[in-house]
Amino acid sequence: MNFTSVHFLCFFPFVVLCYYCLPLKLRWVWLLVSSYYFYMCWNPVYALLMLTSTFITYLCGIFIDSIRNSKSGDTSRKNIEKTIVIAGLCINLLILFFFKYFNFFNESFQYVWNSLGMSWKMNNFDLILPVGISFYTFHALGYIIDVFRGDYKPEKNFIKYALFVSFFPLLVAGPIVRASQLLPQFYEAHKFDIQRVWSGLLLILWGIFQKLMIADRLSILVNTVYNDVNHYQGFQFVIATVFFSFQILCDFSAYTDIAKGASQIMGINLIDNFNKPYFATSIKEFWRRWHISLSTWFKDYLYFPLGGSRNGKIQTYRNIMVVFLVSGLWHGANLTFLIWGGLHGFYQVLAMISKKYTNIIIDKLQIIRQGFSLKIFNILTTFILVNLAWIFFRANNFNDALFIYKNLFVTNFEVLFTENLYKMGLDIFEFRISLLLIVLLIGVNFIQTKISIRQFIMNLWLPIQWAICILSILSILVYGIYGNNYDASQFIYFQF
Amino acid sequence: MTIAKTCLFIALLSYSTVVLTTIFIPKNEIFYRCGQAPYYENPNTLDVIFIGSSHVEWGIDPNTIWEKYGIPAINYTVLGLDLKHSYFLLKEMLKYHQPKVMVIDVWRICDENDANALTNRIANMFPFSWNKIEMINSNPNLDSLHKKMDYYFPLHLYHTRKLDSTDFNFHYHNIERGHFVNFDKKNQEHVFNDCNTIASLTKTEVSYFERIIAYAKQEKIKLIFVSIPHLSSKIDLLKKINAIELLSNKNGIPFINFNKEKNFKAAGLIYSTDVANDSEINGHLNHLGAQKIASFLGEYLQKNYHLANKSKDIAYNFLNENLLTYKTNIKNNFPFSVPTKGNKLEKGMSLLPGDYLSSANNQYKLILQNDGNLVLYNNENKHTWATYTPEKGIVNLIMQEDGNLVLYGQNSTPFWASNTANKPNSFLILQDDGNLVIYQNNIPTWSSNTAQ
Repeated sequence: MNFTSVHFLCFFPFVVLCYYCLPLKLRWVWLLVSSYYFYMCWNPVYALLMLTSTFITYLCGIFIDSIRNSKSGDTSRKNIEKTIVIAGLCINLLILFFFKYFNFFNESFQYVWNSLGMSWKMNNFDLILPVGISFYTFHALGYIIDVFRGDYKPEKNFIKYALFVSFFPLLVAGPIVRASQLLPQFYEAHKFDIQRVWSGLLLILWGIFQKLMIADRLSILVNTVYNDVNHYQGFQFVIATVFFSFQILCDFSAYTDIAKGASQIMGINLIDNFNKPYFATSIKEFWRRWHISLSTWFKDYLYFPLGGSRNGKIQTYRNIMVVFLVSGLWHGANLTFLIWGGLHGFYQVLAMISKKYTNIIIDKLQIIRQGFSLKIFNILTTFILVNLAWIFFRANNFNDALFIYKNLFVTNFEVLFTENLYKMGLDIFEFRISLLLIVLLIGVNFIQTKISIRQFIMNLWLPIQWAICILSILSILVYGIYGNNYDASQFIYFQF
Repeated sequence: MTIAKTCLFIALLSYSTVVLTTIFIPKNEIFYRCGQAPYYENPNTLDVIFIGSSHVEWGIDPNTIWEKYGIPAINYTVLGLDLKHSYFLLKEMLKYHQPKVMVIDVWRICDENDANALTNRIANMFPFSWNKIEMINSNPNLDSLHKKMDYYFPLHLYHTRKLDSTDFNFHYHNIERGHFVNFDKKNQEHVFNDCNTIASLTKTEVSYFERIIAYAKQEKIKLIFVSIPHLSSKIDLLKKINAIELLSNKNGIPFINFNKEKNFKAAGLIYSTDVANDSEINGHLNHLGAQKIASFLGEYLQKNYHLANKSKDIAYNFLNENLLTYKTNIKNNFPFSVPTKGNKLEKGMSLLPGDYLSSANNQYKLILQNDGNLVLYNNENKHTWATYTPEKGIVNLIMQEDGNLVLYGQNSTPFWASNTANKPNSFLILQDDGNLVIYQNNIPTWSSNTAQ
């Protein structure tokens, strides 16, 4: 069930209505049932997989808790806890590996072995990747590690724990939340608050606007170019890649906004996942603004356990590269994602190595560090670097990505002034609307650095609030990319 | 208070969406206008409603029924309508009107092949209602919510349309009352295929037939089934129509099958002159045919259902005014469609704007156009002679007693004359050779010199 589908438009109000009508004790059961129904709309069988993962990690937590309360010695207790955690992690990672990475590693090994002149043959499995497997697995893994570290007390109520893993707004594309952020909210009584509901609805509306108006419109051009790279070159790739950078931002941020808005309507607050990432002045800052929940997950559960930045520069560089390569692999079992992650790691390592020299240059040129010019320069540089990496992220395969890099710097500026500009999937009207919407998005992001637009709208006179809301809905109905005339794009992050 | 505000917001949003949908639905098709009949006709002013496909639209002229019998009637049609979907049209119409008789055309019974297109056309016409949902859900091809979206909410399908000025025209008043006026002629003969065998009907077909009867009974409305001429040679179709005729008879409902030679001729129809020259479809009637069917049905309705003549009723004056506009429009749009005044203009006779003379061999026409220009046309519709008097407010052309042929404007101002005064007992004739001549005692006194 897609967030922008009519199915969800019927499902969600019904869930909310029942949620507020039911007594507190039953609300969580209702949400669990709704979440499993939501998931089963994709593939009912894979709900069993999620249930298995939930059950295993729930038992891990219970066992750890019972061992902690037992009278056995500290060392043996620690060892048993470790064994349980490792077993829990391994089983979950194995499930993830089997469904998501088996074919990739199988093909890679075959390629390497065959290149070495040796024979290796094992058939791939013909499996559909379970939607959201990376997200709910990371929820569950984070929980076990938190319990093991003593950061969170194991959850005894299976229903609430199962709901933590499967809570439908964040089930298929995050944000990846910690048990300590979400589970306690399941114990609170959330009363119906019209202001909160209205605020949540506005956030959902903005999410749908970003998805149907911007992301899906830009995707038409992006798909046209990236699915047929041989027919384009130079500036056409630049346009397609810049469009993709805004497409993926709007797509993912739209999902998060809808998830946040939907949760907020039910009284549950989720963490921010995006914070105007294209205003970042460095790659490091970009990752503090982009997919924040995943970045912090990797930081807490991988980067710090690897040693973080405590063991000297070389180990720090290694740890950064490991985190970003794993992050790349998390996004997809494909060489292009691995390179994309690697590039981001490399950018950061390079920035750390060259920091000393860039400081010298800045001093010599007497550039004001807090100045506007340097900030703009850094924002643009970061944006360009991020875009260069997006090429690998979006390209259908490694060869396509290489082709784009090779032809990226062909100077065909004339394309801007000819009809060829409108032969990339969008006609002149749609192309101009796309540019306008990108400007609107940047404008909204900029204003949001100063004030909360949602709060501003909510402080306006009610008829004006309604007018804004109705006009936005009508704009989406008229200019949105939906209906059977379009091949509606799924949310990009569903595939991860 | 919160609930009231929420309801108001939803109402505003729904209304805006309905307006938007109305703009985006294509309205340039005549069928869309015909489909608006239930909503734009004066409520409860219809005694007879004809439901059917294009065969009804071309084949029945409700204005003729009004003119001759004073029965207020209208066509409610959808392109390709089958009997199954007639049920939904019947229900929709009866939400707004309480006619005395419903006449339903039987052509296709339950067409699964064209089901999506038909669902689409009707869905565009119907506002969102339970009847619309039921109609869409009855289509077996639409087995998922995703597939039904285009039909439930037409904006889903049409929001990508490029709009033009016609999309903002919400004037649906249909002067023709759902009739498509056409003057083409077949000009050939037809061999009737009076098939008398009967096909078996499917459960669905029988079910919808029974639903129509039950619904009409429930609403206390008399039903008549007809099969307006389509002159199909498809035996399967004819057999199905026979089956419906048999079922109608069993249920005591009249069935008039105009596709049978006997009934076709009983209505006074002549294939060569009353059937349109439509290459796609064999048997759409032209306007002359539609008038004949209308006359036949009007008489039948008056005789069997005792429908009062309402032409003198003040409440129905709008239909008299409509009839005048309708006739004027036909005169303007189809100048040679109205009966000719013959080929002669005797002394004292006149032509009004829109009137014309036709040569005896029907090859040449002299028309006093509505713009006031008197023009002589040849058989290729090219003008060979004219008075060049357009836009002068010409009122008539008179063959005066004194032998002078004069074009008069307002206040009897002459704008053109043949200058043949003092030649009494003259007449004007349009000859078979294309020459327009004034004769006095067989001696030509004036001519247009256009003999071919």
